[in-house]
Amino acid sequence: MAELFSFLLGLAAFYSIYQMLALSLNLEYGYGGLPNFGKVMFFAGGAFVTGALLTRLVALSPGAPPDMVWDVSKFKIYNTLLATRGSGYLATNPLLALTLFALMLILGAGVGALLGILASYPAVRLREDYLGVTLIVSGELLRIVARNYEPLVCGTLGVSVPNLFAWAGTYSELIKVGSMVAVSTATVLLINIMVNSPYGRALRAMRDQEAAAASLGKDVVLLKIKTLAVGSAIAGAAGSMYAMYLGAVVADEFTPLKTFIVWLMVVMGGAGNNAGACLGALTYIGIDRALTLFKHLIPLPFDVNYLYYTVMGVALILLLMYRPEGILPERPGRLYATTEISSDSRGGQAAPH
Amino acid sequence: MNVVLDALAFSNIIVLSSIGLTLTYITLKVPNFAHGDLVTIGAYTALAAARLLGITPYAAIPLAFIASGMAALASYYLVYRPLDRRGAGIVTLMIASMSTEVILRASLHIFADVMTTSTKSYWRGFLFREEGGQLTSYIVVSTITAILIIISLYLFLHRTKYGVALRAAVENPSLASAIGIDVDKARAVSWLIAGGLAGVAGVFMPFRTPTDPETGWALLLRMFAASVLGGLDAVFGAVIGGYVIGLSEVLGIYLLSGPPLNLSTAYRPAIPFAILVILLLIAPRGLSGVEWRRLLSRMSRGVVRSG
Amino acid sequence: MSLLITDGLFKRFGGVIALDNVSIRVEPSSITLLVGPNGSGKSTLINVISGFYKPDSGRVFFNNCEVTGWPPHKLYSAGIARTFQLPAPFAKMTVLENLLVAAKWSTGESPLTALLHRRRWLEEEAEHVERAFRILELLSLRHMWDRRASELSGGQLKLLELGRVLMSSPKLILLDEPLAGINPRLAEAIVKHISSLRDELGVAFLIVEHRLDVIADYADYAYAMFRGRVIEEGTPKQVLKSPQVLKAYLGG
Ligand SMILES: Nc1ncnc2c1ncn2[C@@H]1O[C@H](COP(=O)(O)OP(=O)(O)O)[C@@H](O)[C@H]1O
Ligand SMILES: [Mg+2]
Repeated sequence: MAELFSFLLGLAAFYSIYQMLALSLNLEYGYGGLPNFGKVMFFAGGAFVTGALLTRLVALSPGAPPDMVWDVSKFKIYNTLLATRGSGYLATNPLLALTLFALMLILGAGVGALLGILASYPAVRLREDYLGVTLIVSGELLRIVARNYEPLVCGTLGVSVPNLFAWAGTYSELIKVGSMVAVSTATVLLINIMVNSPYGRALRAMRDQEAAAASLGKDVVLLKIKTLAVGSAIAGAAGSMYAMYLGAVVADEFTPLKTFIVWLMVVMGGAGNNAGACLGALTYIGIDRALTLFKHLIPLPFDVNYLYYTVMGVALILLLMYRPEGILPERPGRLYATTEISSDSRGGQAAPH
Repeated sequence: MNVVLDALAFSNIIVLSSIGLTLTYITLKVPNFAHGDLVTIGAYTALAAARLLGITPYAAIPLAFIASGMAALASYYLVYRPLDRRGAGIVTLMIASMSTEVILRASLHIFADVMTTSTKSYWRGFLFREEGGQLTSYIVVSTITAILIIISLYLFLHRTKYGVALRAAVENPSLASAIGIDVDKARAVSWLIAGGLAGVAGVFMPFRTPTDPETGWALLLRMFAASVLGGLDAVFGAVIGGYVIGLSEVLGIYLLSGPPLNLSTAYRPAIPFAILVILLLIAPRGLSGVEWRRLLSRMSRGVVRSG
Repeated sequence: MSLLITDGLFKRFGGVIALDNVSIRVEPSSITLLVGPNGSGKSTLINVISGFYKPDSGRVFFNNCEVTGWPPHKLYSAGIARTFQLPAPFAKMTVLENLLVAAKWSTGESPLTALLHRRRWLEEEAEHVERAFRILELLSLRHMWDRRASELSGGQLKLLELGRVLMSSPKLILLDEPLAGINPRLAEAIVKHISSLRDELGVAFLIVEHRLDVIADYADYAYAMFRGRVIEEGTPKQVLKSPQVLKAYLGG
């Protein structure tokens, strides 16, 4: 029973994070046609800024020896200790802890947005293939810098992050995951309003026919910049949440495989349909979590995850061939305004809402 | 001196693999993200041959060519051709390419683990020094192999009737099929050759780096750097690109890690990556793609205007 | 005062000189025809005026204001709209949505305003939808309003393109072969519609068209181009009778 409960909590936590990533890619690619093959870079940006700042910030308050915080060679060794002490301190100060939670999300989103604006420079200039390579390489550059430049997230060792929900005692995990679900759900609501608006329509127009969209008054360059900024802000917030959930940030985790997984979710679920992206995320994370849980029961001479990747890769290729629109295809034609459409119009979609 | 030789050997690997990367790019205009894994397949084929058949890795070069070539051919027939026939766009092909990459790399992991348990020896992080190859001889062998392959590929593509037709078919498919060349077969042959060359490159890899299923994937972005530098639509541009990237990575980090910068050598891959990003931003079509004439005329016009 | 003036436009593609000193004028509330054999630079001129190409030299004035090199979206808000020679629909969107995209001054077109000013853009949206339906009615496309644009026939796509540009009440509409592939009866109807837009709303048109039988009677002025140059101008009758133009069409 307890095991099932913690399984469900883990599932909800990972789903919250990947739902945000999938929705952000869906906004960029599914609606805007921007093939962001560097998703992990923005995710990492949020995680790195949280890893770099949160432990240090918290360590400042309870009066830890300052050299442990500012001297990198010491911080490298003592960051776990500092994070543990920080968790203890925050356990008595829930208000501060929650403020920090929000602050880190905002910082993560800010760093993500900044990286997104940088990424829009190649995105408005390069063809899809060159852009894809540029973004993958940029993500790898960020990872290489992070794993070698120790002041950021302590290089290859990684950095510990304090638990911001220690004040909830035995319910700590539950409340932590609950907050993550709340953030992720809020993102779903916001993105849904955003894409079901003239903005979302302009994005789809740009995706379908960029020249025509430009000729009809859409500033496609600005649209791309804004969209990458919003999408990357969401990915950055997700990265920040990921760091706070796991309680650690390790640079080498942020490989292009993460980007691929998010693409898998969006293309499998249905690009251009937010419900599809969420379904894709749920499917992938559900199986992934279940495999982690039952791994030890499966007698294989190799890690079952490799088999999972292989199967998922094959599934995605088959889907591209036989159902390229995904499980839940895009559904155009939603009207946003309440309008009288007289009954002589064919079709049953008159005057929704 | 040692550094220069090491740089040369490293460059040979990059050159051999990026030629193939460029060749497949020309056929379908899709960057083949699985190309690095084709290199790994070559390395594992040589390892398997050395351990199971008892031959030296050099003798396994033809086997590696076949194994990686077949893997490339399979990916063409099973993934790219069906998608291309369904009119898939470039982003779809790229997603498929990434899927293929993940499938191949995960399969290599499975293979390495299964072999490790079944033969009770390590199939991860292996080097060829113990498997009958010599440390210095491989520098010579890889250089000679690279030169021979470049020359014969050049002769094949430019001096034989079949090679010229092949080039025509992949570079201008609509024109080629109009004059009766079998474009589909030409593409398949290109993928076979491209994979094969990656396999050959793979044989040399474990002589200098401990190799595991991730090693080729880690090389992929360097290959892209080399191919883009040489121009993604020019097969032999990859030769120059490969040597520039390989040499600048090994020599560059040698210089940067010394005084006065004393940078960590772990920054190594950052050199080709940084070159690639800068290149893509200022001259995405490679050095040969720079419109020198327009650049010059724009500059001279600027002079006239300001003067 | 002319609505549109181009002054000595040059545009070169590699070795081809697509525009060679092209100076034309379009008067307000008029229909100006642009004729000439294939490859004579008509589409290039449209592309330069609408901001898709930057001219190598020469200037474009619109409404007494120099607009040379402005990006397309800015020209659209200034009042220049265009269609494409090959229809360019938003294929995965419905017919109605195709029109709504073209509405001008939509508040909710940025991620933030979409969130923060929802009430305002919803109000505008209702007006846009009404307007769109009126245009669809006019073009006999109303029954197709909730179909995807990819389901339309070639002729219907041409109508859709026309409908889109009407959404913004532009002052000048550039039409690149609007009648190509449209049956004679519908073509006649479209031309009548264009001339009524001119007469009632004062819209000016610059129209590239080969089917002169249908359109010449309605046009006020015409230019003939050949090999990047304007070789003749005047009333449509004068231009069409000009021996130079005949020679060009016959492959001179
Ligand atoms: N984007 C372009 N790149 C290169 N050449 C072009 C381009 N657009 C037009 N041209 C050339 O310019 C000339 C004029 O073309 P165009 O304006 O399309 O003629 P028209 O519309 O009168 O048939 C042609 O020779 C055409 O090949
Ligand atoms: Mg034309």
